[in-house]
Amino acid sequence: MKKILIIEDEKVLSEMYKFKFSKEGYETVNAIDVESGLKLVESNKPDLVILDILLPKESGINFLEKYKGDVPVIVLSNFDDNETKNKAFSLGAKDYIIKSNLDPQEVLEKIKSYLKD
Amino acid sequence: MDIYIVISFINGVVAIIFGLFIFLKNWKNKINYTFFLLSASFAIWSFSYCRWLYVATSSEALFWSKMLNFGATFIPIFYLHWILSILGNTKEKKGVLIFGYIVTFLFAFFSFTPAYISSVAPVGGFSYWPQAGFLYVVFLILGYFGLVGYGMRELFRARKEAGSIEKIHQINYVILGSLFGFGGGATNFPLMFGIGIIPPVGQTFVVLFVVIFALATLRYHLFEIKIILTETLVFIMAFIIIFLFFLMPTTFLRLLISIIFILFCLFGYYLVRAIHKEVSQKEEVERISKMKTEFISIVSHQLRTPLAAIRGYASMLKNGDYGSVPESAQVPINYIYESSVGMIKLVNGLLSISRLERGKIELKIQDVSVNDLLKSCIEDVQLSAKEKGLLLKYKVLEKNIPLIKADPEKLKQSFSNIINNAILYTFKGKVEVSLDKKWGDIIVQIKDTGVGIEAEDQKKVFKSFSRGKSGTELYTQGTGLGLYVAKSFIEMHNGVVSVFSKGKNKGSTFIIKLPIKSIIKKQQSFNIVEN
Repeated sequence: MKKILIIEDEKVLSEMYKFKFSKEGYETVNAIDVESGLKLVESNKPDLVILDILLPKESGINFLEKYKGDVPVIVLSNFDDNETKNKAFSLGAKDYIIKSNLDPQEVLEKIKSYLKD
Repeated sequence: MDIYIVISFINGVVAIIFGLFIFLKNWKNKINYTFFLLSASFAIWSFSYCRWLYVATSSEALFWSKMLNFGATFIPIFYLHWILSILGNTKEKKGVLIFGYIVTFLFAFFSFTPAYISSVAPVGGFSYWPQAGFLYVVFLILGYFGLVGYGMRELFRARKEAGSIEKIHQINYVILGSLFGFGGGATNFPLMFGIGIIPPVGQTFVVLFVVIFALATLRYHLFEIKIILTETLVFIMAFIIIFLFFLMPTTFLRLLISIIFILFCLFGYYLVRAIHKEVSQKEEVERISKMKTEFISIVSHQLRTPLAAIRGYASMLKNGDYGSVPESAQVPINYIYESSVGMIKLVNGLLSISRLERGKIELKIQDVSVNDLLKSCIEDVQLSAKEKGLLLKYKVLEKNIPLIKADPEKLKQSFSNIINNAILYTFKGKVEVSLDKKWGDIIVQIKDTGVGIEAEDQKKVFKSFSRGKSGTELYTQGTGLGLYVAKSFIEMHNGVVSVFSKGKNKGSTFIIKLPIKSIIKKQQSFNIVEN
């Protein structure tokens, strides 16, 4: 079973994606900030990381700067700023999705392509 | 050699004036005080430079050339500190800065010893030129190439990642200033190693270093520079008139010069006051406009999170992710979903506007088929046209439509906004979209049999938050942003959009002209302030 780490501080949204992905057969783990995200990515060895940008204490960009592993990271945020987008891509993010622009089903379709063997 | 004395003196005076001006403007700001420190070390270097060239004995020359190099030792680290302040990276690069300061203070400590400057010698036509000691070579490697090189590297990296045209301009200024300053200054080095083939001609460009950096520090606001230039000009003119007063041979002529001086002071005062007024008015307009766009941006981000939740949960309820929904609840859930999507579109529109007004739109230019984009737009609205009972037609009038260089996403959004509008404001009849090529332009025409636009509203439809009389009477969900965004994006592609309508209930025709061959700036800003 493929595992997805969701780094998202808004409970209402993390629960929503968790439900959707679990229903599709994925195992999910949730972190609410960069620090716990970095710990969980090491201990849980997920197949994919879904990362928010506006997080408490440190931003998602800090996660990308600190994380040196090879698990693909997809940014899923409402923070829609060119500078941040460019920085995220330059730090290795595979995609940058605006949450409000897609239904959870559409997000699921997108992430499936990154979870293919 | 006199020319180098004059140039160095000018360099020092300019550094003092600009350094103090920036410092006094806001001395608490890190960018401003690091710039002042950079200017101060530059001024020590410049004044010592002209003092050393103006001496009679070798011991005096040695002292002043050591003083010169004492000032020069601080230039690289203050430069790097200032660069990192501008880029907002001082915390992140704290380690580099601490290392830089330690190294600099060590060099400064040794700058009066023979290990740094060993002697003065006649080189390249100069009676005395300082000769580098072994420590100076280390300084050149660590300070001049190390710290300055690191600063330049950070600049190029930030330029690549910059999201606004204003930031790119600012960085361009700093890069240009760095090339003039450090490139020009480097022409002094060969002589320090006894190589006098090339004279230190770069010294003449060094003055541009401070001037260009001052422009960059003022955050690309050239208005303040206007004040400095006016005040400097008035001051120089007043100085010349006073000087002339003492040269006049008769009392009558002195009296005449005095009258001219009084009149000049009066005009000068009014001139400076007028410039101050103009600048403060422009600054105020800019401040209000910036506040407005920042507000829209923050509000839009805050709104997106709850909207994403409403949309997401509604879509999952609708799709049966939480089990089957009673038939009576299906329509209300759909309403919730549609309303949230509508609201998200509005928020996206507001964000587009706030970006347009801050010059934060970035175009991703590639080869684009307008035909494909239009086909995709038509597909997207097919269902809503069918639901309204409208005939939606798409015609390609010219077979050989070439690809154009454009941002497909922005161009599609422009077409979609106009086509959506046509469907929204047409209640019976048809919406016809056509594609043609004429005189080096691609022509897209969107013609409808809808509510039409009254003559007085035709000029306003492309302005933000403008919906025209028909729009407000008939349809309440329009935001008045779609056409404004469409027009802005089309203009970013060097295109033109215009509208024709014979009046109320007589339909409308929108015509978009896009040049086939055109050079498009990747990042563009739009001035929303109407002067």
